[in-house]
Amino acid sequence: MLLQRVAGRDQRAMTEVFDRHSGMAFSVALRVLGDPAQAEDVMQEVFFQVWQNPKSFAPERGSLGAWLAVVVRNRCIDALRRRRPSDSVDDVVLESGTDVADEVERSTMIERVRGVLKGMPQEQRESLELAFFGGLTHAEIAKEKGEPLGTVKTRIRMALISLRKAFQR
Amino acid sequence: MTDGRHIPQEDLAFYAMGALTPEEAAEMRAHVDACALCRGELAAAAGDLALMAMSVEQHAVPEGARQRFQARIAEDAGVAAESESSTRVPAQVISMEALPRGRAAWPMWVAWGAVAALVVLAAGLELRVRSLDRQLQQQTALVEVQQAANARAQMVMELLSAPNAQHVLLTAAKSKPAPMAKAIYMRSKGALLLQASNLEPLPGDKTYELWVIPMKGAPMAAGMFKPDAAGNASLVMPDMPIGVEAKAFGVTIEKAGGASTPTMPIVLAGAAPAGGL
Repeated sequence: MLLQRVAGRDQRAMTEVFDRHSGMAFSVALRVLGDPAQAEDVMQEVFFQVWQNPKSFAPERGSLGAWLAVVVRNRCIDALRRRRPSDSVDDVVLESGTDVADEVERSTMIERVRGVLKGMPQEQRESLELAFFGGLTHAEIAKEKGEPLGTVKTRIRMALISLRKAFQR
Repeated sequence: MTDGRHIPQEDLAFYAMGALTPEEAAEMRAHVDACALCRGELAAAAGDLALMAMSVEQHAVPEGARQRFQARIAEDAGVAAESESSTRVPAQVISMEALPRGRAAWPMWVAWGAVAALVVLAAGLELRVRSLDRQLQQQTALVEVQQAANARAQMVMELLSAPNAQHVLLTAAKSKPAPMAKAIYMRSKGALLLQASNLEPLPGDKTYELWVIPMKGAPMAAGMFKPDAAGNASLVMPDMPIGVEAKAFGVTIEKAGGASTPTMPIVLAGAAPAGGL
């Protein structure tokens, strides 16, 4: 496995990990931060953490790509809110069934997610995106949208249910 | 939040997104740590969100990002980064016979050119390796020299501070030992030590007085002392201002109680070496 070679301080293997996932990681960071330089900083830092501690990712935590996407997103939110890293990379655990390592399967799933997001009511999508890509708390979203907290929570729950249905194969 | 049972899905999603207040997150974590069902639901929510993250519009990484990352891990590993070309292009053995021939085929000189380029590259890498090896040897030798110097300094310190060491003063045979003194001064701390020996005894109304002669200004009284029966005396950490750069030190004989200016003659004197701190 690639990460086993990384654990053996194999720079070529780490570069391969970078080549394979940096595009996605950078895209996630750019989506959250909106600034290419800052996005690259976060991305570089996350990959460097993988280099320093490849055992922080375990295969049972899902695919490496999905795990990196979440870790990068979390780090970006931390940067956005100018706070210390809220969790260690060790804390991110994904459902093992979310195996999107296979490129074809991953592409299919991502297209499905895009379709679901595009198809859901605008209020639901906006609330979910404000939480996920904007790093806002439910209270902050309620304040920004001028809506009751319960409404915001319901919208996000409905959005997540729609997403979950898209993932069920 | 948990209704005494399990955590609602949207709250798990907010937790996975780090969008809860610290208090809410702490409460959630405590429950998740103890509840396998909610732990599984949390992982599922995180998996959903991972796919959502991956659904963003794809962008190419900034130019040079890969090289910057390679340089960083190479630095971390303490090894020079591999060249861009060596990692981008996997090594392959290509049979000349397998190359297409005819008008569309690569000319033979291209292949030989590539071989020559590889030879030059290999030679360059060899030189680089030798250069690094030389640098490593030089650094190792330097470290050894410094370690030896440190060990020697340590021995000197132990000797000076050893209570059971023998202190012997050697003088010319059959001659009266001359008065002498040694001052140790550190202006950055205002610290001063004086050890004197073979001093002439003084009447009760007289005293020896140490003076610091600064680079600028009048001599400064640094303390008074009287020798014991053997002619030895010491002055330890007198009250000195910090930062006075000393040009020389002198000892005079003054009336008991000391003087504001030194009285000639100066019975002991010594110039301060340059470079002290």
